[in-house]
Amino acid sequence: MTPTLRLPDIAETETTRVHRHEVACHLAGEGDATQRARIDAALQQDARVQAWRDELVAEDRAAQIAVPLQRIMPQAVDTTPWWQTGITKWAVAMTGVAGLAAVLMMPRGINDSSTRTKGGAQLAFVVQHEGGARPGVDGESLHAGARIQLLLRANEEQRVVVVGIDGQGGVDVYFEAELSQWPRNALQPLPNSLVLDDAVGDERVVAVFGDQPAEVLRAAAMKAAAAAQPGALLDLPPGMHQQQVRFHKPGADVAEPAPS
Amino acid sequence: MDVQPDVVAELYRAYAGRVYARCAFLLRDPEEARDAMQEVFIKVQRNLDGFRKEASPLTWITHIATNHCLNVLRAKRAPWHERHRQEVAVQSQSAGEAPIDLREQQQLLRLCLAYVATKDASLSAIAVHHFVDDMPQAQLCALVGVSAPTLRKRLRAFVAMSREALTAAIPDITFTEEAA
Repeated sequence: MTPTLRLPDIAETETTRVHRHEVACHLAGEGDATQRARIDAALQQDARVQAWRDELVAEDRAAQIAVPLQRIMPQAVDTTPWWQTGITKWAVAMTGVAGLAAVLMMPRGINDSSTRTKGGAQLAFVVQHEGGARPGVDGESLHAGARIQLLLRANEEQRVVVVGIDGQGGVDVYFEAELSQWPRNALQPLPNSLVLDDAVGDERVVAVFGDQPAEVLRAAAMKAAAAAQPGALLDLPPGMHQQQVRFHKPGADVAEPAPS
Repeated sequence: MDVQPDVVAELYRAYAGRVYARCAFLLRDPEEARDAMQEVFIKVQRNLDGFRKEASPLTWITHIATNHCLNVLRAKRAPWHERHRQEVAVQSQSAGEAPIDLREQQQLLRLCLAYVATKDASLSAIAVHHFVDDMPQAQLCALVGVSAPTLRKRLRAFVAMSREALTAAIPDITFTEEAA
């Protein structure tokens, strides 16, 4: 069979369609509000644009596996400082680099079993280990010393407060932020990662989203977390919603699952 | 070079996927692609001031990656080109009746890009941005510093050179023009 090749026509004028490169820029967090809204709309409605996004995310994954951050910057990853907080039973570390390295190793579709209650917002986590990181599974068993990097994907919300609830019901705020500049289409690492302490029991981290003033959102999240019943979602005021991830911290004689 | 680790990590977070995809697409060898990605990030770190002034850092870093890979290809063009010719020849044996689209056939497109890169690397870079990245023409014009008519003229030149490359690789190939 003689192959016939269709050569592209170089159009004199360009349409206003969304281009693949624009989607790539969008995923990288580029573009002004107008441009981002335009791409967001296309991502909602246009299957071709959605397919591009999926391809680009898959390319990200391939890069993270093929070329870990350590290969780009070998010294930095090993020198990230860690320290303990005294308020909670978590150690909170300013990871900057190590956390990102772990996050960038995560497969797409990470932690789909985490509790999600609205739209595209999501809370997920990866578990860092010596060789890199693996996706966290909602409800999994983790031992003291495990390093967790939380990831957040925002939807249309203006603010978020992330609270931790330990096995004894202790509550602490891990993170809060305005979300106007937070990328909307991909999980992004929080600036801090966490090291689990040696307390055993079920713990969870809940992201509470809302458009209320920051202090209102924080107070409501703290109150609901303090009153939380084991296994139940937080009882939040109307207009707020939540995502959560849970961990079980067994005693020291239970082996942690090997990283996959 | 005094670049903060968190800056590099942020660059990696935002752009590693695009850079590696470009390197893997053009170089095709995983280890070469990894090396190329490393070198691209070193170049970026050396030019961070310029990078920060860019309206679209992704466009800028993609351009650096593209040029880097095309230079790598040019440096070893003979084995590379021959490999592509063989692959394309094999692929053409299984072609059906329907016309195949240059944009959809990565093997063919790569052959054309490689062929053109040996003659005019800047033209090949333009074609990568147009056909592979699907970069808007206005953005591409700004990136390479040409007017829209000049850009289209350059792209038509690429198509013409691609005909040469493909005819050499697949002597019985025929062409049809895409409807405007």
